[in-house]
Amino acid sequence: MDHTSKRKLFSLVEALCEETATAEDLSQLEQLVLQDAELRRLYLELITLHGLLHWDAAGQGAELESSAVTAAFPLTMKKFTRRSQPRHFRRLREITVGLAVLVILKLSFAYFIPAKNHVARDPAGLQKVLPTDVSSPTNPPAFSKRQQMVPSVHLSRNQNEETPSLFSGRRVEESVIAINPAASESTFQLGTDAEVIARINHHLNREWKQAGVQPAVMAQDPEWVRRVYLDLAGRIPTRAEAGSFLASSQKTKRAVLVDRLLSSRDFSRRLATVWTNLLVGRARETNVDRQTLLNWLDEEFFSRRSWRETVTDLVSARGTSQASGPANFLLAHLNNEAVPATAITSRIFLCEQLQCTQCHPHPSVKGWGQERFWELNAFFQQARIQKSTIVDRKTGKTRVVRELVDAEIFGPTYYETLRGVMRVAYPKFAGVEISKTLDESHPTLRTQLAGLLFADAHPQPARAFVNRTWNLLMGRGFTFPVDDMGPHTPVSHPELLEDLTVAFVQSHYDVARLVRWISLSDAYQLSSRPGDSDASPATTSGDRPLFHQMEAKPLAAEQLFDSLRIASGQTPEQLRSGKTQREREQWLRQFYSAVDTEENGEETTFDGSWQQTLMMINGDLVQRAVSMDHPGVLTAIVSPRGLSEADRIRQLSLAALSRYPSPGELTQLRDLVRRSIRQRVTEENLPSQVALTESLRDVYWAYLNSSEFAVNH
Amino acid sequence: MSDPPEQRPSRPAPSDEFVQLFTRAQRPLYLFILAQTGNVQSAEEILQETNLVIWAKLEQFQPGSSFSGWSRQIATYEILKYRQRNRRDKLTFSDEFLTAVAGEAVTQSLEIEQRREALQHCLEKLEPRDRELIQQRYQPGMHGKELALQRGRPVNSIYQSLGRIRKTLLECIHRQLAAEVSEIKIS
Repeated sequence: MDHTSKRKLFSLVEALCEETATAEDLSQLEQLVLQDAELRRLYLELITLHGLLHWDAAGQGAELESSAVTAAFPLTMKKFTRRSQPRHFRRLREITVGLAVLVILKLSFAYFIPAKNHVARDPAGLQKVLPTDVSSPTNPPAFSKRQQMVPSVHLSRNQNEETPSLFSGRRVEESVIAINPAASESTFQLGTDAEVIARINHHLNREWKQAGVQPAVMAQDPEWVRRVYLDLAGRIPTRAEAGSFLASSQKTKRAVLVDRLLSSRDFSRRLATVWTNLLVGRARETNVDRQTLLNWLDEEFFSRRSWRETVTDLVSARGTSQASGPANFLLAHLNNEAVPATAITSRIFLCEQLQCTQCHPHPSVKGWGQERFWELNAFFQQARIQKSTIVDRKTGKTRVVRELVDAEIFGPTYYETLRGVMRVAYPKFAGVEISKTLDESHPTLRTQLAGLLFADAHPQPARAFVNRTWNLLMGRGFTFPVDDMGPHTPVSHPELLEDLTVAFVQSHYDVARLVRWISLSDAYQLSSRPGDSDASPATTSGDRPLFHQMEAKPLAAEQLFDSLRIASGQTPEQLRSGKTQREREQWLRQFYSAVDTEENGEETTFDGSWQQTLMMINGDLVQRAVSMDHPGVLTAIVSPRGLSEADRIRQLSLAALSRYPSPGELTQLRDLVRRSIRQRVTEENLPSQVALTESLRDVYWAYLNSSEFAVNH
Repeated sequence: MSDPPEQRPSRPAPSDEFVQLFTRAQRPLYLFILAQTGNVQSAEEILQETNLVIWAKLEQFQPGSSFSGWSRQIATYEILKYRQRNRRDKLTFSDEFLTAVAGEAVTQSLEIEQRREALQHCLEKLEPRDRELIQQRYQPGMHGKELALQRGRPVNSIYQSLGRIRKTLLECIHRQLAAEVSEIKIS
């Protein structure tokens, strides 16, 4: 065998690995492999290397594999149908789809970044725009009042005293379920908002220095204003909102805008939307009343109720789906012996993935045995769904009403171990086992659970909420995935997470304040464009996010819908009308479908098939925005006489993307518009006013369909 | 879950030993299939089919006999079935190729574990920049093409870098394996 054929083989295998090989390549490869034993060996070594790299995803496979294998074994063979493939693959595939979408988004986004940015890196720049003391009396009163307060913590450390256990002493082993034992103890004391923000900046700055990265330049106002509206209000700013922010020379305008948004209905609705989706998903319509839950959450966030109280209500609510907003959470998930309720409660409120311990001990967390799952599950054994038929007074028709109640008589739960042995599990959480006798202060198992969730001094629900909120605003959580904070998952900024958790607990779980801290931190002000053109565009060091550059976040379906409606000229108030809400639900329904898995999951085509989404936004929503039939944004820009083409294009850009076009972009678009007007007038014999209108419609259409529109950056 | 014991199906639950054998066979089985398809996705698909058959036939496995041999047989059959289903696909290898490669794969299957460990070591020894690139390339769902776009580099230059890194890794693995062999000789 000569050197040339070896090299030839090498490049052919390379093509095979990168999936660029042609049929011709394959037959050449075959010839080489068949003719020579040494080449055959080399082929196998190369393809094995490729396979190992793929299988182990370059060093991350160990964890994947162990979970794959243990998860692959159902308790009994009857469950091993085609649906239950080894989790490894299911998971891989999910990641694959997700990643591909992300890549597409990031890429297409890169195309739309205006060529150069003119801001020199200026460490003092952040301070210029942010007030040096964000808690200064210039802030709206809603915040300044609270900042003076350093609330004390009233949480009882040891709930054992309050709830003597009937079963105590029966199962004492591993009674300590340490929540994140690795997490550092924070001694942080909540002071003013400015202090918390300084703390965030301090932690992130230190990490940047240590990793030797330069943070990205500060986001310019257009980039930032669109971002903060999308994150906090769930929609793009209107033309007027964007225009007035850009025109303002007020030094504290960013803080002022954040505070205005936080006290708006837009903010409460945005969080209510996010949490409704987390709690019951988008697809379930039959068993739950999403709208009632959404409205209830909206009110919770708007009235600034503490997150602890909101969670307590969600876990312990009773009532019908129409009458009780929070009851809808468990009405959706009590099916199948409350297995989904158990898994989802843990994943949503604690960011802990217990679902696999349903069938076997956790593959990588010592001490997470099956009992951890079933002891939590036992808390839901008292809850029942009562169905009754009522006659609707208005229509005279009968309908079934589902009501969440707590039974008088209930028992523990039973489960089977890997060896097929039946075990019994009694309600137990955070080391506290609950007695069967329930007194008046804790009337049900679920109210007991609600108390125990927050039993720790630094409760996991607080940490989980901080992580989710950080993820919502920064595009990445402190853990990846965000809802897997078990001891096996590395935390990118443990001290920062602990400080924020403590501050959040001490603020009495004030959601708006937490959002304020994050959105006024330096990191939130950074551009999503890399700092240096020659520096690596990665926003992470290895697998660890550094937050030295804003992540580009794809718009959620609701954000896209609302933004397109704003772009068509609807006012923010109109977005909250019953009619628009119904239209939104209808629009969303085409993307999501429920899957009856043990975690009550759902499938979506909104993430996966981008083409489909494009088809959708090319559909009614965009049509409406570029229609001249109704008075709206487009008519307001196109109709008035006496405006130059350039001015009109600038306004279209502002309406769609909250920025003015760059000079180059403007020249190109203006040329395009002029050419198309000439063509329409000369070739299609259109009156010139109509030709102008049509050409501007094209420009708006292009803006709305751009990937810059579909991404929050 | 909470079925009373008497309602459990009559099928025997897999023994712990079987579970372990199955677990350990996954990676070698995957590599065995991959060598014959050359495509990671179809290899995964075939592996899944194979696993289903293994579980359906677990009673037929004779404890004490070679699990890898048994599971490779099943895999071979599943590869054939896959090829039948995808007859129209122009990008497939010939039967002779499959036979030859399968034979070689069996020979090399004994050192997969050493190779894997050597690879871990060699990945750590890469230049950080190279390591990052190859790790990104093997993120699930990622391809050289996307990587190129993401990095703003021409796709061919990415392919070139990836090829160079894989070559470095292969040579490093060779050295590692050779060193192991000589260690054994010495001790």
